[in-house]
Amino acid sequence: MKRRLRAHILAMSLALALTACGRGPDTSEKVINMAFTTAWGSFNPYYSSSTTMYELSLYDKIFDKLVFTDLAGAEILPRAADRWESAGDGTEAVFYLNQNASWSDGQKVTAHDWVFTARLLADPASAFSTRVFTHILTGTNENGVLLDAETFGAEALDDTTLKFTFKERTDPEDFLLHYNRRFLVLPEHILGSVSPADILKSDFWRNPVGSGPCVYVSQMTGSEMVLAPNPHYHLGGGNWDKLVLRVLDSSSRLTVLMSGEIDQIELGSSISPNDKPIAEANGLTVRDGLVRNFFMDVLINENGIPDRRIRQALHYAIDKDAIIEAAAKDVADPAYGYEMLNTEYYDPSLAFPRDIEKAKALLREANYDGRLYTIAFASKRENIAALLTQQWKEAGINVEMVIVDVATMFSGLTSGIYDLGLSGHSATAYSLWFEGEFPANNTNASFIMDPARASYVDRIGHAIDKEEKIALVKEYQKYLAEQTWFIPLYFAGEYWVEPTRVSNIRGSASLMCNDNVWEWYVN
Amino acid sequence: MVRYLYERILSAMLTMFIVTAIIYTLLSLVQGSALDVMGGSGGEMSHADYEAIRHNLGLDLPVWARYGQWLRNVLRGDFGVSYRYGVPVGEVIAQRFGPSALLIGTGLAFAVLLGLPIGIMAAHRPGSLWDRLSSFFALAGMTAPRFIICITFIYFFSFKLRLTPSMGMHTVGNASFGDLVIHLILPVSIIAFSKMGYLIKQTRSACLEVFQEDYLNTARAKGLSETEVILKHGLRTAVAPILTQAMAEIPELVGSAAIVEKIFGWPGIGALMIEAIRNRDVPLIMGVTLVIAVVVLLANIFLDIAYGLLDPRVSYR
Repeated sequence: MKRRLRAHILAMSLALALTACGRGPDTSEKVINMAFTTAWGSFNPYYSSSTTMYELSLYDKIFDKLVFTDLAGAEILPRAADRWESAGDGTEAVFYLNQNASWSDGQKVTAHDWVFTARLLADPASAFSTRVFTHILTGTNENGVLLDAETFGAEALDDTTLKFTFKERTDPEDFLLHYNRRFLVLPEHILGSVSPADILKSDFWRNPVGSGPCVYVSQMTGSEMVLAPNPHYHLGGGNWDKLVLRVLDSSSRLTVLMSGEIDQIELGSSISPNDKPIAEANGLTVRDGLVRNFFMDVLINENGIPDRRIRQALHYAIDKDAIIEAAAKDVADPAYGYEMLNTEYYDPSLAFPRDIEKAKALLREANYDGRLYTIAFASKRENIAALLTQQWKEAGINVEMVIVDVATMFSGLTSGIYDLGLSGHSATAYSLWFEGEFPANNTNASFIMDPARASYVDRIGHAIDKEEKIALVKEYQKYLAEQTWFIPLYFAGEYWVEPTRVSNIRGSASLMCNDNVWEWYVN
Repeated sequence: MVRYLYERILSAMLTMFIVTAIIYTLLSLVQGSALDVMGGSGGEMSHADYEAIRHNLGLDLPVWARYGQWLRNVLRGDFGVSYRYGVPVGEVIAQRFGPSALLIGTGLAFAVLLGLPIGIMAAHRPGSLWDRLSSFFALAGMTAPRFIICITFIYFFSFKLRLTPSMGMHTVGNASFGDLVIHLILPVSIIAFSKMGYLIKQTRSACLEVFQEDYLNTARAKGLSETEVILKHGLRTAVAPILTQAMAEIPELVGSAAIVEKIFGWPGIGALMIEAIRNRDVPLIMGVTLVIAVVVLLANIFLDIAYGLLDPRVSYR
């Protein structure tokens, strides 16, 4: 009996040892490990169950875009398009596409693929959840649905020349700044035979063929994905063999960077100001972000707080410097509108310096009865919300805090359950970037259905003359400040950790949801 | 026995029906839907598109109709398609169930293997230094927040000592068993540490009671060694309540393992559930709920059977 037991134990140990020695790591492969703090969904860029920047960052690797943007849009570089120009008195944009662009299956990418993608988005039967930009093209209605195929404003002039015709004058760079990150080209030679109504059911989304810098290799759904360089990518490839995307908890960001398990974290390996000294003490090089484009604001539900004077009182009661000290320390500036500091649209005269007496006077004028308002926010913004609530209390405004997830916050603001919300946005140099958050023609959390606002947006959007545009934007921001539909808090930059093992990473470009992976180099 | 099993399975099915109905109803009451996550509230979609997708997803139906539809499909073996991942729920769960089972199973096994002897030794010499140390250890495991333990373990073992990886289930390109074991060490240690406390406490109190029994003194008087007395006679009687405790830990373990999976980037169903809830992915939430319910109910049935096998006084009626 004992002998048999011994034999079993020996056999099991041998089997374990053999398995352990089985397939070891392939050390000749250059693997870049990248982490995401939020899991991605499907590969379909137009039916995402979440429009987060994380997913846009994944699509960017599989599917190509017209341009590469950096420094919050201050820099626009060629990608699928080599160059572009305005035509037809400003109502047309012509893109000259790279002649060498290919799909990962080797087929050529042509202007017809871009037109096909735009047509698919505009198709009335399309099952996609977004039409991205088709509402600004001719031949569509205000929702971007195709009305007239003949006049549809996407056209292939030849295999490498793409033309968009807009309903109104539109600067091509404005178009790119606003829509580039969400307009990704799909292959007509594969999806052309699929009915738009059945597009979601296509097996294409399980193993997509793209013309981006990477090709899909494998994945454990929602946990890990392996990508390889696209051998046909027209901008070339780095010296790496595999790009491994992994989902990790945000609390582990710093640890995995310090231990070297992760080379890059999505959106630029940023760390909090509090973590900076720890990272540096542990040998990491931490850099101050080149741009301060993370915009934090208080959303106000106009139905919940219809009196403009109370909204202004909320604004006057806030000490933005104290908020910055608590949330972003020395990498943020107070925000006076939605335009960034480094743009020509920035207007410091719009400052609402903290003035408790003025806030109280406005409240008296509005006959504020001490009503309790509710502010909803995600748990990571708790410190900001607590400070705001305290500051409002000092002015005599009663606000209770509710911690929810982002979906609940937006849904609650829309349905009127919450009066206030805390939201973060990634600003760009596009003059109307913030309008994307609250389009006038659709549902929006703040219920702003104001004709004057819509008129401003319209005029700014179609202004081609730079001086005229700057003046209009400043006027518009003044109007927004008077109405106080939202309260700008600050623009923050980020501290980001410079990878030690991989070079040529443009950390600031990650914030625009594009990564120059074709230039990444494993040291 | 067969009749008993038949009745238990029937009652388990009824329980599953009630559990899923409650969860489905609660989900319908939660603020925000998959459409809101898609951008429906943020102005991403036109009102017409919003309504069209709402209709396509069946979200315009009353909750009872949606639940009925889901239940009918499940009975046909169709768990639906995940809103977020766009693939069948069964496929997603199949990928993620194995890693969870491995993590939880190994964690529980270690908790039992370590907790049992520690508890027995504590009961054997009550009031001793060992007893006090084990009590402290048990208390620490039971009360320390799992999140804090995870971060502390990662900091010391992965970062400071560089002994183990802090995330994932394997190194890319390395499918060896040894690599899996190395990745298992930290998350399993945390699960074992936090579950061991309950087992130490349960084993200690069960054994303390049994060790006072006269028949153990009789065994000793017959000349059996202390080890034989404890293992052959004492433990057999004490094992039933210990087993109950171990099995009772399973439902809680599935929930608490989700935190460990999330922090360690372990590709299990707990972390999947967290993401599914965040995205209001109802088909996936329901699929995972069903799987967890089945596991818990099967564990309970197994416990009932094991109880009878271990204790001849228990009979099935």
